[in-house]
Amino acid sequence: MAEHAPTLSNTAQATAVEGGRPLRQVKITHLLIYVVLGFGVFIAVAPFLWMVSTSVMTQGEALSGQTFPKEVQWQNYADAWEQSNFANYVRSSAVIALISVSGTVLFCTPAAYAFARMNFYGRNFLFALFLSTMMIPEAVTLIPNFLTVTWLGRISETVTESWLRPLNQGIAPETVAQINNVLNSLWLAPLDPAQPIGPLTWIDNWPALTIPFMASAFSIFMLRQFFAQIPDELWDAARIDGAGHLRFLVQIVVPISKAALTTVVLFAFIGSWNALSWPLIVTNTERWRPVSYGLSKFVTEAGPDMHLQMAGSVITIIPILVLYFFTQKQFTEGIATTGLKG
Amino acid sequence: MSRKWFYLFMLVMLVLSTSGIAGAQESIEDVDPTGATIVWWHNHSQHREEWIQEKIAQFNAENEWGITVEALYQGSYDDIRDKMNAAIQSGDTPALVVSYQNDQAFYQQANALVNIDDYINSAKWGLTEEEIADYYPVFWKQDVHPAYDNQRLGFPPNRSMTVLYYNMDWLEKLGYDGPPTDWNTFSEMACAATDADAGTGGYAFYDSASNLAGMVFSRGGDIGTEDGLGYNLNAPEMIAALQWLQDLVNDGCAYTPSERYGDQADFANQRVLFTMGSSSGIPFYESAVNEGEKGAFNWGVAAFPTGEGVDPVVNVYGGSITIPKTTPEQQLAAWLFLKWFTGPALQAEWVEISGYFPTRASTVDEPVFQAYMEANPHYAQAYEILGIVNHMYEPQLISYTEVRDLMDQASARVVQGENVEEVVTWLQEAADEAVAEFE
Repeated sequence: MAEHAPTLSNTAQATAVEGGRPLRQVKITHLLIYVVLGFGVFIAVAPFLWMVSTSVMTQGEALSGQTFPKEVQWQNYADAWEQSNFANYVRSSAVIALISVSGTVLFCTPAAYAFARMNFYGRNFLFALFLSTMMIPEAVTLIPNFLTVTWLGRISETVTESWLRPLNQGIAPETVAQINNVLNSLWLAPLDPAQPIGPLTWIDNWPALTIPFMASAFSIFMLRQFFAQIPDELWDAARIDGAGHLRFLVQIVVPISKAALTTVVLFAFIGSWNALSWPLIVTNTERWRPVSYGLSKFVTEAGPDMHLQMAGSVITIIPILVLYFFTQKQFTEGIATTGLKG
Repeated sequence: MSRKWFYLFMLVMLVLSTSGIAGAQESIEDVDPTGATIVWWHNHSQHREEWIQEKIAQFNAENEWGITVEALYQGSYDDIRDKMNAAIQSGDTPALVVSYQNDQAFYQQANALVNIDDYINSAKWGLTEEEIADYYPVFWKQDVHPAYDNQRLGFPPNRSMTVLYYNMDWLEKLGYDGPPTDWNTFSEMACAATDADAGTGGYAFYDSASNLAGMVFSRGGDIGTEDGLGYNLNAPEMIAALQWLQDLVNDGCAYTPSERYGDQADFANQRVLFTMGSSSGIPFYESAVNEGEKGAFNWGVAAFPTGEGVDPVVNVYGGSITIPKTTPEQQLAAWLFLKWFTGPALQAEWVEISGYFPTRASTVDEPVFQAYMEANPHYAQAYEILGIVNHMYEPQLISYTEVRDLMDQASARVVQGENVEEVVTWLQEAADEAVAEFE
């Protein structure tokens, strides 16, 4: 390579070669690549910049399609936060996302492991069946899922009520109040501290918003792809050391699958954070409404409060950006190693 | 002998059916709504929701029956339709819900709604003849469904209409002294305003079933059949409307903005002379125009231009409130709240908050309404139009949700240059299929 490296002392610098190609050609090629990449970056970033710019405009500027505000309206962020009760929605979304993501990792990891590394009758058929559920549009499954969740909620209510009855009778009201306060502080139950501990309802409560998403076909598929690539030698070594499937999963597979698990966490978080249709169906009151619902409130039938909606959007995507910032290395690695990249 | 038995049977049936009707009336008269708690699902957010909550607190505190109403925002009309569909399946519907007429028909297919006429006609709880006459006839009639034996499946708290937004300063510069009253003049004005070098256009058009319906109405046609049970989409007036649109686009005098609300933005920045939209958008146009790139200008709203020999007519629409079947006590409580909520004083306040039209004529006597009219001249202009033109409304069929999409597609196909008559033939066939599928 050294003989091809361009040097400043070369009087014919313009015709110097690198890797057998003239330098000018190399520079033009690089320039073209940068232009194309720059255009791609612009396409990707422009909507984001537009959102940020619109978020600091007046309503009139936003509605008349201005590119930049005449005067930056920082107040929009405070207005959006207050007018749409964002504090409540952000808190709800955070709890919903936390439970959903935890449940997704907890249930999808062993399921994916079973599909990837355990031989059982009908495994491939079951996996194909599972994957086929990804092809069904959400609108089609909305009502059946709602009816299922309603039915499960009624069972849950009956069962937990029968469990709680003796508990409520057997403990002092002060203790009940303390338990309710703890549950309330965890944002897990809409309880009046003075009332007995209520049964676990699903509709208009966290179970309906989280449990249906804990067995995600996409997450299982992605983890299965990663787990299937783990060398058999590791399993053989683990067996020699006396490990069974559970120990192998927990002590070997999970630690070396951080990239794939991070990707699952990120996708599950984004899915949960952005969900709107399902939360609207299964909630009736404000308490468990997510942040996307807060954003929808800026659009009325007659038109949008676009400046506030964009301010709310900026607020809404901050957690996703923060999460991605801290996990981007694992996320990229996870995408690259699970066969999801194009 | 057999004839005697037949008459006897008919007599018994008549007595039974009459007593049944009387029984239904009596049962409503005898219901005691005291202490009922009801839920209202609505689509009003922000300051509208705040006002609703304030008024409901007032109702809850003051009503003589101790009825408690809880109003819950549940997203857009589409979101609410999905939610109601799920609620009907699970048997857990609210006592009140906002709905367009096609949604009402959808819910009633599952026999989920109350015929509000039963409550209106109640001697004890209903409306007087004077009160009924206070409602604008077209708004009063709009929730009565021919497809369901003329049952009244909704009650109107507000309405809007399609209007033409025009730039008056620009029209004057072009030598015109007012908005167009016929479609040919509209085309002439739109083409006069079009200048490719200056980047200006005549008419910013976007696919809208309600606007297209308005264009058909204003040519003397209708998009529904006379009996209200089907569609009349391959009528000459539809062909004329779409051909007019295609010609205007081909002449370069109309265009489709690439962004949502792009027509409003172009209008505010004086890049387009005309747009069409809902009268409920007036406050948004006001705000956009006041801060447009080239500064504020003199603009106005008008009824759509008309075809030859056709009197001005507007397409009126709006979400009503329906009463789903719950318990007799909750249904009555829902009606009593609805009756209170649509009183003239509250109507005036609702206008001030929402920018909608009131549905009761006596609202104009309310000082709040008069003050609003004075402070909002474009709203006043639109309201004045409402009072002097004819009114029509879009079909009340379940399939209209689907047919609206088909009408949007038809507009888009025509604008892209397809043969109008072929598109209209396709539209009618597709709409007939939708009727067969949904009704």
